[in-house]
Amino acid sequence: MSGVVLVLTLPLLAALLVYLLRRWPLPSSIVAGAAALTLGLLLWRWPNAEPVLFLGRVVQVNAPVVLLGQNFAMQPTVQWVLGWLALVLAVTYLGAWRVSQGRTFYPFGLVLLSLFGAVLTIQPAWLAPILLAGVMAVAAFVIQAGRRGSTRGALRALWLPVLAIPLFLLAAWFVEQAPLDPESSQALQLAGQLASVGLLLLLAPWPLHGPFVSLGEEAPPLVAAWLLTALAATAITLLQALLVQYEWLQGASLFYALPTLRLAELLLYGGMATCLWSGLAGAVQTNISRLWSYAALFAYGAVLISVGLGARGSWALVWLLLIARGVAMMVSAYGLAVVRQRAGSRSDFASIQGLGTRLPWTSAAFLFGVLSLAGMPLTAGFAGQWALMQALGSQDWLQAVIVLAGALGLAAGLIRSLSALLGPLGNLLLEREERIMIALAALGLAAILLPALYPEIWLNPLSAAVAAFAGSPGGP
Amino acid sequence: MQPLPPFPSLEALFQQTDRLAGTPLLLAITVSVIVVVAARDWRLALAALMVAYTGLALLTASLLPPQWALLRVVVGGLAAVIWYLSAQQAGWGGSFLPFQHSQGVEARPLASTTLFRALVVLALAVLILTLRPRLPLPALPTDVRFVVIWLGAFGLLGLALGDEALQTGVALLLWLAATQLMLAALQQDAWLIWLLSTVELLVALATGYLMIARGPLWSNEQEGSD
Repeated sequence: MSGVVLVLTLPLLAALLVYLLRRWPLPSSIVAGAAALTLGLLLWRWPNAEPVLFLGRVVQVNAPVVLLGQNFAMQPTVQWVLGWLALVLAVTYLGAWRVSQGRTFYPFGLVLLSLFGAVLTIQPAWLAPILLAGVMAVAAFVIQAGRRGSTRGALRALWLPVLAIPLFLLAAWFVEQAPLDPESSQALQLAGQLASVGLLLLLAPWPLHGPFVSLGEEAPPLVAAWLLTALAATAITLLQALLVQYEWLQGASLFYALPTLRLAELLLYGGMATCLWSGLAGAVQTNISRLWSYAALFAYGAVLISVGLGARGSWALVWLLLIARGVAMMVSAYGLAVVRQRAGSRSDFASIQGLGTRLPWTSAAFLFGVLSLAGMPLTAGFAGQWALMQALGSQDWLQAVIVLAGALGLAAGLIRSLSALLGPLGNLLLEREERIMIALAALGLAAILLPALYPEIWLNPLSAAVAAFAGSPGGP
Repeated sequence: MQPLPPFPSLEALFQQTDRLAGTPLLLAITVSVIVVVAARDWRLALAALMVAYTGLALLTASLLPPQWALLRVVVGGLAAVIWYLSAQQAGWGGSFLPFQHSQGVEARPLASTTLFRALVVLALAVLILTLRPRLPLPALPTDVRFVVIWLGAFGLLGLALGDEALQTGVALLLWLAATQLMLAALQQDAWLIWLLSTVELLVALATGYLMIARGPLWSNEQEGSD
């Protein structure tokens, strides 16, 4: 049996059971969390190229399989990424147990995990955006979560994957046409341009960042944190897969008139613009959901910069930043979800006035999580941010200053939100945090602070990620 | 009682519509797409969408087997039914933009009046017609290339002009219709066609759900909680 079959079917089978239990948060969380955790641990423990025994059946993780006339295969990179997404989903379910993210999230989260598995394992990679568009259509149900009112977050999440579809399909067609005229490089140049633009749409640096901000603002926080983590990991993995398969893509320039303007440069400068824009926008926000969105966007901008740097060691930096971002997003999203719930589903400063005095632990989880996203010292995000600043500073000190300015902007926004949270409390009857909520917040704070004190915590997951991506080029 | 004449086969049906090929077909598709993007009444937009999809089916029949071309009408029809039922459930009236005055909604500065939308749409139409001899994708047949660019451009314009679920869904379906037509000309791959059709239906379902979630016309309810 192929590992792909397990990745596609196990979450769906668990989703059926969870759907029946969706009205009861505790059983739903337990079953859904256990399913995601089991899948994540199995994917991280199983070797990619050797058979393993699972429930009495022999499983070959990297064995290709044909489903509905199309090939699917799990490369080592995909195996690691899907394990990461499954583990993050398990953590999301843990948080969702105490702070409802919508009843449909329990089964739909598992369905989405299975669909992301299909996106990452389909061969060839040109077809992945089509499946990704389908995934975001399904995700609209958990992004909206039965909420009445604005649908901007769910709608905008559909834009970019749908827009990227014809670009990738055309690029694939031009690649097929190239051997028909070996003396001309025009077909490959056109394929490179189209693929680069398609990848830009999926990676979405500034000014294409709007859908990510809307999703982060409007979706239930834990759902948004998981989806943003999954989208970032999927886009990066797809980029790596295309670069490995088509090495000429690395040198493809987007415009004939600007031959030096390649995808790498656009990601580098787009990432810097994303960081700067996030900081500027975050500094003036009066809504902690939007502040959180911009903080997540800032951390994502740092990831794009590291991809654009393209040094041989950049995959280690990319995954250090991505893992730290995922952890920080989960912790801060949990805090945000609790604060929002207690403020009556509002997140503007006027509505959250004084809530920090009644919810100190969850407020601290939110604040430290955002600090980690900004890469501040004594947080999990600092190590990656520091390494990025050193890499940027060795090229051009101004680039490091731009990123630092963005971080400082976020810090300013965070200080303003802190003053709102610690302001005079309007509702003196507001209940304090329950012990379970305090325990979960403390766990989150430990996840933020411990890696800063003991950076060797990163060693094992980072080594596994780099080993999985080791066979690839260092970046575009 | 006289027996009923045999129902013509699908191939015969499409052959009977050959006289529409060329300018009449292009005119029907282009005008209906303009109406889809510019219309204020959602019922008119859905009707125009069906006309556009029927025209696309006739155009696709020149590139693919008729059964595959019929899929365009099936997908368009299902999407229209989904949106119609969603609009009914959401309590929409005759206006295409029912939420201009809903509480808590920030009005988009661009998508304001029918006149403005019509002007922008006409400007884009004139631009594409002017650039018709120099359109990209030379590998496609001339008429197909024109329709692909037309659908893609108006799909993008639809995304820019509106932020409501139905407008977004229609715009995305126009973009996917352009993709389908392009694929039909370049690569007759049944698997890709049904995969893209599935995505079109999923987009229609998602936007239909979001239409209902947006709330009824002139809603005075507060936004729901998590």
